[in-house]
Amino acid sequence: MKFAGLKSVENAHEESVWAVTWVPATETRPALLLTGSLDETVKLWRPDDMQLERTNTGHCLGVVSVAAHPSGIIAASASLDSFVRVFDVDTNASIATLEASPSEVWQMQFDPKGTTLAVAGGGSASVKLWDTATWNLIATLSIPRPEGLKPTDKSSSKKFVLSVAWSPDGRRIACGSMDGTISVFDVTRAKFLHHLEGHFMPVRSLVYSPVDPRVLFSASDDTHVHMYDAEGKSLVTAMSGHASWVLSVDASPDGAAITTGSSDRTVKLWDLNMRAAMQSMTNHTDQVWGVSFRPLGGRVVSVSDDKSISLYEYS
Amino acid sequence: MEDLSKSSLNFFADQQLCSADILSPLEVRARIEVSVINFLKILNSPDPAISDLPLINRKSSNSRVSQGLLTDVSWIFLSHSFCTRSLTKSNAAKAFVRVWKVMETCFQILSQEKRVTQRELFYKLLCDSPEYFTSQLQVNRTIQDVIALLHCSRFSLGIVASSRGLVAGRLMLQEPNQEVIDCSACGSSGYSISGDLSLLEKLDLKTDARQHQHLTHGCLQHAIFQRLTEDFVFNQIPSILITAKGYPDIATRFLLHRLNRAFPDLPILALVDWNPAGLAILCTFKFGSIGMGMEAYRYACNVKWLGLRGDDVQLIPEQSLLPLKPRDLQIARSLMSSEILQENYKEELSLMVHNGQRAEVEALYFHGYDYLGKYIAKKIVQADYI
Repeated sequence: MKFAGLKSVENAHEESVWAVTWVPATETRPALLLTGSLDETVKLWRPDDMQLERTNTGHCLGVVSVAAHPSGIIAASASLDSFVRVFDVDTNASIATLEASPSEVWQMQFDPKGTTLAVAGGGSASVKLWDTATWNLIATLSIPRPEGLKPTDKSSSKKFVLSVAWSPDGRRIACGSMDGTISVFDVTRAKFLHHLEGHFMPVRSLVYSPVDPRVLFSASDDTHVHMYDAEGKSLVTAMSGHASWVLSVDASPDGAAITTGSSDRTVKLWDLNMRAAMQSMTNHTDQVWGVSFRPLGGRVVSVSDDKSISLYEYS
Repeated sequence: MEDLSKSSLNFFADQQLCSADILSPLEVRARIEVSVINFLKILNSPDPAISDLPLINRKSSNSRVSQGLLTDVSWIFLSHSFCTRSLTKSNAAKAFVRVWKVMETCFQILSQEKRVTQRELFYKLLCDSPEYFTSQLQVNRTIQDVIALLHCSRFSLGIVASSRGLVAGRLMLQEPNQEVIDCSACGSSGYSISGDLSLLEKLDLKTDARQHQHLTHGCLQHAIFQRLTEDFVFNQIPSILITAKGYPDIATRFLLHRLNRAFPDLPILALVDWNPAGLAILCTFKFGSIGMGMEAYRYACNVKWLGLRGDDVQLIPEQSLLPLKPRDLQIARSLMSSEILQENYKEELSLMVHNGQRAEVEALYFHGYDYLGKYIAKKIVQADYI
């Protein structure tokens, strides 16, 4: 397996690009790319020639996360002003605006069926679940406070939730916190199940394996990428190779590889059989905030603090 | 005028007519409840079965024509032939479930006393039942299925069309308890026609154009509408301009129909492109459509064809004449076979097909930006419309 660089767009945004996601193809158009940036805009790109389709404005602070509904028809963008905007991808018509308290909106992901949107709740130490048909808040999955601590105890803020991931069967949600713990919840019963230990620094990105609903990958500031058995609560392996914080991780649809982006400016391709990094792409000149595999495979995109977007072929 | 067209001088055509009733939310909910009860009754009976859904057939085989006798309005309507949606046919099972899902959602919407657009309904259904709904077209078709099942209008189900049409010109509109809106002072985009039919029904309409002889309503393409509105054509030729921005929606047709009833002496003229699609748009305003056949017939108006017609083609420069596309020919064929299309329209259509060319109204700008206004004025004065 390997990456081959395809295309790069310099100055895709006016500031650092922090978030990227693929928007699945619909019956009327092929897959698109959605990027969100510190410059407060969300941009829509045609991935074949990296042509800009549209720029959405309206957020008041930097865009921290973008997520696409599995149907490819709607998408959501979240910004530091703690608003989540849900919009129609093709027309940019606003569908809903979800509001939360300051610093309580971070990463988001739609569940594989598209009926729920999970939003990592930052300082609220919880994950909020929104119903996509009515846009009502249906559940708040809270991380339980550690034993013996008072509610006002400052250490509870270490459970600041940055990242969130749905298991492919939609039954589990995992979220990563600033203190390195990963919490796994049972979605149908809206119950906390257990913590996954191993990291001691912020877990900025999580992704379940698309082929095995028990396997979870995590990317942490401690420069390691962990592979967990999320049901059995055990760490399968810790992979090292990055020189600095690992900011983003994504799994390939064929289940054979993962890719990571790091503040050491590289994008690495990891082989899951060998459990080691196979290749390192160095075309970014600053931290790589987001990496993403195309849902049907074959392509990977990375975005960086250097304001550029890079497209690679994965084979 | 009103009474004449309501009186059944259509002899027995009325008995064949299958119409969608305009009902209150309570009545529609009652109809939905009745459908559910019937379904459950058959399921629960000693000889249980999953009943099929009987839908009024929306094909041309079930369409009939009502020729106006003492009125000059003809329309297309649907008769009582049924087709069924069945759970037991393997590839149609999802369509069957979709009808129930849409009924469920409409029931909820009506209970909450809200209204949604077709697009909003699509978002809800997409997120609520992703395995059954994947595109807007599916949702639209299913809505028509529900209309064909319950025999109630789309608006009664709580579904509002998004506003698409625009109106400008010598017209004063007043919504109940609101300010009077002067449509000649609305800027180049005119007054946006709301999709809310109950609002349109309550509008008070006035025009100051009684003294003038040649007041008209014009049905136009959007770009032409904007151009003519910017040039204040309706001040030179006292008129009201309407556009549906393409294929006419129910709200625009409803407003046109109301204008026709309110000002019966004003002829309605259409300016469309010289191609089968343009004629199709004119015919929809004039006769209604089969697709929404249970509702559309109500809003038929006697629209006359001002242009572009065969004689105008000589005014179009060579380079603006484009070849007809296969889709155009398809539309032409289905129009030709329609029994409601009058002879002179069929002649124009055969000329179109024979020459194999089409032209847009905008091609007339070749002769200068004010040419269009003069062209329209001349035609009106000469009463050159069919």
